[in-house]
Amino acid sequence: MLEHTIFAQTRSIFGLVSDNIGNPLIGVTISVKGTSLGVVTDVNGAYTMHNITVGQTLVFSYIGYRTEEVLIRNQEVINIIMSENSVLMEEVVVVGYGTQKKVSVTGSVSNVPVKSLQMNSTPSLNNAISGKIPGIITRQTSGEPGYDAANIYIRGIGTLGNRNPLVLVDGIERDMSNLNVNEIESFSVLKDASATAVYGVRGANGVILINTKRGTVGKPTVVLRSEVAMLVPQRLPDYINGYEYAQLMNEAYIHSGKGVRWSIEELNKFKDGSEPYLYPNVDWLDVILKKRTMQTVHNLSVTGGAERVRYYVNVGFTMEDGIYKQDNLNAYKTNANLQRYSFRSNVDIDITRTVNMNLGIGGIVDERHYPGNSGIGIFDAAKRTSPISFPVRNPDGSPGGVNTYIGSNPWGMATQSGYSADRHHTIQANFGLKWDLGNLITKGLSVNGKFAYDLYYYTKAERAKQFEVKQYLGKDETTGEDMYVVLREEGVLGYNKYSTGNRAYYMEGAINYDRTFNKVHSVSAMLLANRREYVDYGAGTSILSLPYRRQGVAGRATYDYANRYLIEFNFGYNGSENFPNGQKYGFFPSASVGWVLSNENFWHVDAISHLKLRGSFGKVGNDQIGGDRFLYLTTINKNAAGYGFGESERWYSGMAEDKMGIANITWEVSNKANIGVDLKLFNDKLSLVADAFWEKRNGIFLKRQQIPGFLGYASNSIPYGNIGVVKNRGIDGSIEFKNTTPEGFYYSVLANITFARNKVVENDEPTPKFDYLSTIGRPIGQNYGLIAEGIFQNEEEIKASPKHTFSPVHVGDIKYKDVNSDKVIDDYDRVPIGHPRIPEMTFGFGGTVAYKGFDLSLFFTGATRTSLFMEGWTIWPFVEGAGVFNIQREYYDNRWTEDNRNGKYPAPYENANPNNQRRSTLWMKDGTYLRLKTAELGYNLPKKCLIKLRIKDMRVFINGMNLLTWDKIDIMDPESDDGSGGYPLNMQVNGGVQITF
Amino acid sequence: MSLEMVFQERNYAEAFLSNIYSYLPLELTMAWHSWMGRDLNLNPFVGAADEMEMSWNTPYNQFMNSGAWSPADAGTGTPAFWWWYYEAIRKTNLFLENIHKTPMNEVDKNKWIGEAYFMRAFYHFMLFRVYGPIPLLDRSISTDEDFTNFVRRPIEEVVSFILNDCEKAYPLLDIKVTSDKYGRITSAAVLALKARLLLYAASPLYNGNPDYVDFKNAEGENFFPINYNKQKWRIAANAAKDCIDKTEAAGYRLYYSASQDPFESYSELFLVRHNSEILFARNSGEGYHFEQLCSASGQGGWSGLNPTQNLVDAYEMQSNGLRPIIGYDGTVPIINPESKYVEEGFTSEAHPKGYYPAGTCNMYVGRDPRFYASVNFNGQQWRGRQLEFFSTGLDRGAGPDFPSTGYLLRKYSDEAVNIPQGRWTLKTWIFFRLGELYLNYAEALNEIDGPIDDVYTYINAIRKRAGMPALPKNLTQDEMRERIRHERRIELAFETHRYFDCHRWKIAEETDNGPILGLSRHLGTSLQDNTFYTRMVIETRVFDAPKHYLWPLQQYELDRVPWLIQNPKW
Repeated sequence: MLEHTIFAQTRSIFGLVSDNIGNPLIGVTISVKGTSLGVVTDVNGAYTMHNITVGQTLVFSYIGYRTEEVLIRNQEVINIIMSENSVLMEEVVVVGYGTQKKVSVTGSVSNVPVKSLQMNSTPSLNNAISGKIPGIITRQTSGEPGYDAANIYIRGIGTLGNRNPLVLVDGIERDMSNLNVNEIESFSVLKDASATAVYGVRGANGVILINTKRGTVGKPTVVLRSEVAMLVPQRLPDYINGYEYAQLMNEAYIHSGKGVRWSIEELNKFKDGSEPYLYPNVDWLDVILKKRTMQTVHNLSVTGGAERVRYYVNVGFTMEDGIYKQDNLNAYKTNANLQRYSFRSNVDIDITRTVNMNLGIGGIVDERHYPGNSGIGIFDAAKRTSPISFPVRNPDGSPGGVNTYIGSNPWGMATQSGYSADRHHTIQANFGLKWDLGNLITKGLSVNGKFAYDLYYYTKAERAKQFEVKQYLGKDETTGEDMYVVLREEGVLGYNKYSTGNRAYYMEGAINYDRTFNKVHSVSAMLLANRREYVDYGAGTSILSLPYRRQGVAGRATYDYANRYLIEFNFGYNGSENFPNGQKYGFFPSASVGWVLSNENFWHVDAISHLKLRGSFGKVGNDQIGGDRFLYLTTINKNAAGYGFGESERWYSGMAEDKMGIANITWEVSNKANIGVDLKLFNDKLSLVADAFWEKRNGIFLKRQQIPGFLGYASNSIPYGNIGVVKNRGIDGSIEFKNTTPEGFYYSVLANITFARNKVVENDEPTPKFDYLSTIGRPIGQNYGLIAEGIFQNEEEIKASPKHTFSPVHVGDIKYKDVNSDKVIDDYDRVPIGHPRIPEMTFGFGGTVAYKGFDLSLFFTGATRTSLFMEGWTIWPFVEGAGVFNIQREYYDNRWTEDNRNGKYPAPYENANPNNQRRSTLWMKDGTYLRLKTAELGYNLPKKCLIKLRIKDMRVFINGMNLLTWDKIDIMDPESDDGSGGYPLNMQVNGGVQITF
Repeated sequence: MSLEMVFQERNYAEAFLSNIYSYLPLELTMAWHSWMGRDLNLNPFVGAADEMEMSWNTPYNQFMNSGAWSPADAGTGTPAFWWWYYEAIRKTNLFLENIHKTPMNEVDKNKWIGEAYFMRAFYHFMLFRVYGPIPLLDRSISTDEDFTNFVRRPIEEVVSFILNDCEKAYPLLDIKVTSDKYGRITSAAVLALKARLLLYAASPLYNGNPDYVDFKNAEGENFFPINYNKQKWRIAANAAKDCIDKTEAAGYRLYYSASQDPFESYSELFLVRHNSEILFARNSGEGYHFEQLCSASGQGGWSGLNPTQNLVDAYEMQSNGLRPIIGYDGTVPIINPESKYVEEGFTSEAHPKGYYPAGTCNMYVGRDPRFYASVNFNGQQWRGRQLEFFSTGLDRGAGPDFPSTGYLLRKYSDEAVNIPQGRWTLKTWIFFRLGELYLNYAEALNEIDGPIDDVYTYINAIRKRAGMPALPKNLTQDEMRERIRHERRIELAFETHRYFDCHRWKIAEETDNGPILGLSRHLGTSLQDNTFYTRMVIETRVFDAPKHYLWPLQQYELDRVPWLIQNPKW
């Protein structure tokens, strides 16, 4: 070897290798291209290579990082900052049924760096992606363990029917909400027709592709990650206290023209608590809820592999506690609780040089524990029960109560009603084979096959108990004994078991061809056939118990000239058994083109390192219709209402017409167009992706609306038709800038935005009496209500106003606008008000700074163009009569009274007030918000210290979720549903450590 | 499974018919309430008449009472008559069109056909009584047909359509059924429906009503007959007499308890299911927990159904048959001194037969026995103790669940029911009973022939059972009319008659308009606290004549079927 080098000018090269936040990288392989020479970096990231010749190329490679090549001219010191794979230009993106080089993608596909999903500790993946991906709109309405997954809409809403996107995990249709974030390798969102056409009749709502991690060649890498979080409920309702409540009741009685309800002495008893059993003052939320609760997440993974076998295994455990207090006297727990065990193993085996096999097994055991009542039930009871209704417990310790809503003592419901144990078990197994036919037939040709079997089993043990309900009446005047009315007797801890399950199998076979001719003509083609069969073990009817089958063919052909001109054709030809013979299968084609201007010879703009224009057009379908099946069949309801005949009223069951079959029913079809631009500037430091989209969905499944009621069709018998038409358009995009200064200071900022606006073109709506009441031409979910013009201040104003017909109107009531000028205020004066609850625009932005092992990331999300209606029980005083339902302080402090004529809310009545308590602009709030969604502070311990402990990397971090919110509502979460709140969203503060061995 | 297959099996066809029965309205559930999980209330009528008030504001009758109802109403609680009954009619038509295919014995088949014809008639009648002129559906219509042929038909056509179905049903049905078939339709029900329909058709609302002279269809044809036809009363009288004669020949009788006591007879009439007086009743099971609606809060009830003071004041004195109160000066009653009624003070003696306990307010002493069987009042004995409705009493209620008038409904209530223990009893709802037919007959006869003997005979039979003195002789026709109307108000209280009677007599603009009175239930600290017994205005009702005599067609239906014509003034 020496002999060879003598003739060339040889030298030694040395330097440091670090990652983009300045940490030295240990064990980076530096090799000389075309030779077998190689060294690795030491604990300081330093290396020295001897006998290097000018003109040779050094190759720096490190698992998980982009490989760097450096041509040797006259350098002696070569310091390399290696960047992680996820930002590679040569990055491969996951597309439908395959992967593509990112540079050659012409459809609209968004990816999210998996690392950013780990920046918070939510057990639900749905919540982790909120605001992180351009093109996705999410809304999370509850923080209840197990029921907290956000709704996901890809590019907003394009249909009046089912809006759920198709979610594929490792290519198989699976639920994403309980997937362990730590197991995820990639997360892609397919948005336009080009990207989703291969899914044909399933593609119209967009597709989410999630792949789990796989093994790579190398020594076993062990990663242990442990986190502990504190959860603090946010925006709990602020209800007025007992004294205020009683006094508001009096105010309401007086305002209603009736005598006061409580005397001064009684009011004082509420205030001073001198008779807490007869004149209680209970803060029910405080009685049933803890101030904070706990969550912990642990994951251990091992990745590695030898030449022939690569593996990834992970085991995870998540435990989240609910926020209910418990009664220590119970022999069992009642607080909500989630425990999830997840296991996943992906093994790849090269059986021969051309045949590769892989096997993936995932298991998710989700054990959930709840009080005997649902979260909705408990929170409704806490809304319903006023501070003065009854004491938490009577003098004898039994739960308090009155005859109204017997058994709705919130404390009793949360702690004395037994419990239920829900167990969800999921097994996901997939097996794949790939055979490279390059040597056998022709270069670039391969075939592969896939088989997957998923099993889900759910069982619930409900151990509910009716607690005793007694009303305390005080002491008997003569005997001095406590007097009670027993309203409900105590039951026993019952036992009810429910179980259900399902299984799905999936088969797929495909031929792939991928080859480059003459270095510039790259072609690829894919042809695939698949079949899925799903069986619902818990089906309630014989029809629903039949297997659900789908099968189809999908194909793709691409052509790429010198990475400049890109053409792609995709299609899906697939069918759904939901439709009649002859109409089961549909063909869904799409075409797209791309032009990479920056690769043209004439391109001389140095600042712009990459510029690509993309465009696509195509057609996709949606065959999901409200859980119903075989729409072409007419069915009979065998469980229709019946009748009891005879002295003993013996039951005769009923039968009735059910669904009317429709001969020509078919899927809805979406025509989609997309144009986009990908741009990278300043040596890839700044990158931008922007897309504009347009979608028209035809043939949306709808119940026919114009069938006269007097024909007598029951609502479930009214036939569906492919009658709806909806247009949807918008933009989405993201921008990112990242840089590392020579001093090793790294910073990045990124932002994304999604805007989607839809419009109903046709929904078979009968022509309303007034044009402005029509839902056609409006967004899906448009709200209609009256326009409030303030509060009536005096009788003269009432007399001078149009007649308000909802109920007799008094001073202190809401005054409405007479929209149709007919001198009468009624439901015909409702007009479209506000925006739909699902926001038209969502956005996210944030950044990271890092220096010497420390890093800090902040990420904000927000939404706008959405309205929330603050209405219902606790904001509408005494809507079911004075004495039930709490009153929010927001109302109490801002109500109209004789002394507060500027009050923005109407005066209280002792019972429902239909004039005030209806949807109007008075109760409408702008749902715009901005939230510090996640923040993370991390420290990577110096490798020098770790090496002795045989630790490769160690990171300690603290992060938080939902830390701060800026909005215009303040009294409830801006993402919550209309009305007053249920189980609250949590703020989370989470600390953890990640150790890599 | 298709409709064809349903009618190839007797059992399936029978299930199809049972489903049609299920559309018979549960009128016992007078106050729809959100927790009851039903999104429709098919009987808002009792609470919309001057006999009843509800403690809650959400039942639909409250919107009717305040005048706050409109064709645009779409919210929960909006009665769904239109959809409900037309759905039932479609099913009846499907049954009649297909039953001939079912292999089964002709005797049973004919009975089923008779039942279906009756139900088609009955469901049309239920629509007629709220909407007036309605589309008539004598066959099932496919969604592909031209619907424009279906328009609202004039009143007289509606009446003859219903009568025609009654004629078809009558010969196919038995007049009485054995106890294993209680609840099945009999020809007695057919006769009773005919009689009530014809009574309505003869009444001022439908017979030459000048308010509807301009209410015409697209062809200019009047929906209501514009000329008064007195002979309609004759037809009505004959139909009622026919029903009485045929049913009595078959063994139907006014119900008397074993003791013959008026109070017990009248109470049991509504509790002893399918007793001798019942011509048609709906079996209502025990799942609707009627007693919870109307029981006192201290006994686990919701205090929801509250008879009005207006009705309480209308019960005559038992000793002389005179009305104790003949008007009001504001909320102060004008007492008829001849009646011997005493407003103030408390009696020291219990009623000899236990109608009320000692210490009862004198207001409630010596009244028509039907009062005690119909209304529970402050101090009345019920389920083992005295009821306490006064402001600090055991039954004052919590939150909105208090007796808003100071009274609770007692009629239909079973004292044996125990709410905290969840013990209920089977209930029925009576659509037709012989007592009503007596009153129908007397009313129609008085209109056509004046107060002849038969009028007295049948009214006095009702009064005799109630323990009330016979009517005075020599009443004029007008006096007799007032007496009959009063008798209907008392005898048929809370049976869904009062609302429709006041409408067809065209007196709803007086009875359903203005103040509804109750007692001062927010006052009083003991049973004998006088402050409680002071009348106050509970509600001021709104009735716009002639608008409110008919219900509006819902705007949603008019949007879809623009050729239907809305009722006047809506």
